[in-house]
Amino acid sequence: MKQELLLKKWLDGSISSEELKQLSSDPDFELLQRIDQTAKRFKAPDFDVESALAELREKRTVAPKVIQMSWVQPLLKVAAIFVVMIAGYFTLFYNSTTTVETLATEQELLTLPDASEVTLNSETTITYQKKNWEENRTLNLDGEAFFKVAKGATFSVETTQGIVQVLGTQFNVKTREQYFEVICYEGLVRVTTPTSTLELPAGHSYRLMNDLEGNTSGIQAERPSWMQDLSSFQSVPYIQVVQEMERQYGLTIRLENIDINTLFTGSFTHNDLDVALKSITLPLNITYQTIDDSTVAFSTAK
Amino acid sequence: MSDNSSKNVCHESVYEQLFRAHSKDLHDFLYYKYGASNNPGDVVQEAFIKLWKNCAKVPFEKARGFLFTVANNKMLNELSKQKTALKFQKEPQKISTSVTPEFQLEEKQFEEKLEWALAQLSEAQRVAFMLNRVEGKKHKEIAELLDISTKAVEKRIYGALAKLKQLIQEKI
Repeated sequence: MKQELLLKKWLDGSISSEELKQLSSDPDFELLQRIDQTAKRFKAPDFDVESALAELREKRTVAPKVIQMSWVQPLLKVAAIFVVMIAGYFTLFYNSTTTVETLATEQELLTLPDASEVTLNSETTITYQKKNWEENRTLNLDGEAFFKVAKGATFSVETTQGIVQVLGTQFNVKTREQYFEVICYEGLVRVTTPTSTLELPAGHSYRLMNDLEGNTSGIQAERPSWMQDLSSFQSVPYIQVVQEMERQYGLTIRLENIDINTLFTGSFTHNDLDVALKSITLPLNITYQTIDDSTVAFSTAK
Repeated sequence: MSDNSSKNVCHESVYEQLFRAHSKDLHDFLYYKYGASNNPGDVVQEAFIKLWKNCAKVPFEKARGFLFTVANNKMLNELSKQKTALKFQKEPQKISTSVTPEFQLEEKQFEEKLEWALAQLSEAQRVAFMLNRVEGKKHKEIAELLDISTKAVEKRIYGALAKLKQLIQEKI
């Protein structure tokens, strides 16, 4: 323990020369001295008080600004997120106009948000708002479609030629150039055109053709024939038949010397082009000639 | 010392007086306690900025304690208790042309051993030892700085030396 006392004195710097001599006799003392000497090489780097103070003065003057930024910046970030979210909401959900379109030869079954079903015939476009569909069941139609409407609020089909409104029913709406036809298969349908408003019970149809109205009744079918791959016509101008054929087969039909206003009653299948061509040409004494894969020429036999 | 009670830390001159009096001690304290890799200089700056922001609440005689506590907490936060390897900067050595390469190599190895041994010391031991042996501070000064008794300072320094000796002897 005497050794420890001497060492403490040595560390303290209060050791006398005699005591130091005594300590030096210890074989370990050399190592301790070496440790002591070498440790000084691990001195902390010089700390320049004045330059550090100058740095501090500078930091203190800019400090308030830094504090301000520290809450303005996160605030801006939060605001930016909100802007993006709101913009995203409006573009994605608020103005959610949905458009469904079929091309020639295509048919498509579409289920609306309220489980109502729409079957689109070829070359038909419908648009509707997905948002609030249950409250506002309105869609725009260009072409031909069969509707199976679930019970609920008034269901409206708007076309350029008239509006069809129902509560819960099955009906077909056909709107082609100068041609507007509604056939009700179940329930009750209200049809509004620029000239009239009428209610159509099941089995009845309404037709507006070249500004002439017409009604028929006694329709037995449960669905429009086109849904069973058959296009049927009842006293329809021939041009409508030809255009329907073009739509169903994706064809171009050239007409030579043919009266396009001849009324046609009959039907054609969607599955066999030859049979279909025969069914719409033979009754009217028209001959047809296949020009290439997508073009057919019709002409009246002389 | 009685006039100290009237000194307001918010006064520029008083504040700068505190900086001149304590910044180096604070820096060395942090350096020996936590090593060079944690930027003790920056922490000193941050501690003083915090003192300035709180100048109205900190009485002059409590300022030193405030600074050491803030700086120490700041360091601990940055370390988040992870055991970082202590690294000390070595003073460039004067290489005497008369020494043999063997001696130089031996010297370098001893230095590395000591650096390792220093890192093994407790923080309290290392700070007291280095402030005394390297910075040449008296026991009483260290006691004031660390807010402990001179007896405790003596014990720490002696304990550090004994531990270093033991570690180095084991390594050899």
